Amino acid sequence: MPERILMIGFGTMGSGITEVFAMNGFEVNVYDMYRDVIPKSLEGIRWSLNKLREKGSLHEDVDTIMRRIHVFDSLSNAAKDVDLVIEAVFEDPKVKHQVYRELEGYVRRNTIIASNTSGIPITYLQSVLQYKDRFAGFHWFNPPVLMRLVEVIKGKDTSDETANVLMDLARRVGKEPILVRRDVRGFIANRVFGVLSTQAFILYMRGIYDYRAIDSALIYKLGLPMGVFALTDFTGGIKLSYESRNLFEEIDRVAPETEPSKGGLAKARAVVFSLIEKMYKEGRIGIRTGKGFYEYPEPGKWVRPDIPRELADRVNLLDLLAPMVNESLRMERLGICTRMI
Amino acid sequence: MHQDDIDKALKLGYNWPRGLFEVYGRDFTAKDVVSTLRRMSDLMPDLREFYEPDPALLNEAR
Repeated sequence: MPERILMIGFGTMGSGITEVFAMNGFEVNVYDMYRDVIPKSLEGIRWSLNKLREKGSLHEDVDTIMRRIHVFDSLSNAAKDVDLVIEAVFEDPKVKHQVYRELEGYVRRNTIIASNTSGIPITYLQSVLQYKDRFAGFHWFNPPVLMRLVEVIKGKDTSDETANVLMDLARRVGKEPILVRRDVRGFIANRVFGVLSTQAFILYMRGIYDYRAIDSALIYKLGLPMGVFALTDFTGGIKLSYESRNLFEEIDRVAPETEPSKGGLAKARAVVFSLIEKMYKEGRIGIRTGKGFYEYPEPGKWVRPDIPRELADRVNLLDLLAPMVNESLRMERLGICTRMI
Repeated sequence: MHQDDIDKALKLGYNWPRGLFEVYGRDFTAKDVVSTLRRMSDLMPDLREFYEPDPALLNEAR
């Protein structure tokens, strides 16, 4: 079991993951080449720990936990004697590859290296390492301190031992990890949710349902906290999707085997992308511009869109869920994930 | 206890109150899913491949 951890990248996810480990008694070294982010992230952790302390869910004082976080100015010093490295830098394979190449010169042979990537194939990320078996995906959800899901993803060359260590470690810090046995696009959570989003967009684009009706059905019939379209506005999904188009083209080129659904999903995604592109170019990217699918009182200001409950009755829920069920069963058949009944 | 990776992913990663298979197992059958996919495919022939039932689904529907 790793005892000393190095966190590379100290933005939203990196600092959130650091907080979880420090709370659970681990010593965490931190390195971020952009030193400017460090004070703000440390402050964010302290704020969050204070909240947890107020709620009574911390058994230690905040300063004790903060003292387990050690900020370094150089990667070589930060990497000394660590058992596990978690990388959460910018989602760009080139940037990540550069980090791994440098890192591998500083760590022991048996140090595990894990990436918090949410979308880059693990097999592609690990390809630049000398010892590839030590590398796996370790995908956390935002905010890490509250979200209990963690995905451990095996790339082609990841050893069972590496994956098992990460599964055990996630459990030890109170998470409920799932093992992604095969390196597929979107892993498990984002992949199945992505199929729902894709289907929702298509039903709207083809005039089968209004987007409000779809959101209403997801909220009032399925009980989701937010509909797909409101969530897209909330997360800035239009901008994120548009701006990651080059990354996904690169992935299709270097790791086509990570998309097992043959042409079907790719075709559907291409249809959806035409709306994403249009909305992006019109500046309808969600809360940030005050207008996405819904309108907001002013740019940057979030109010929950008014979605009439009765619209839900117009929607056959299975029209939304059928492709997702289909894809989930495919994923089980291909051994990406398991279902035990 | 029904322990399913996909249900876990949706409940713990996306805050769904119930997992996909909990809903599917209660409200729909595999046959319903197949006929919905067929209807979608007829409505949108250009997306036929997207709506093609996977062998695993057809197997459950038999």
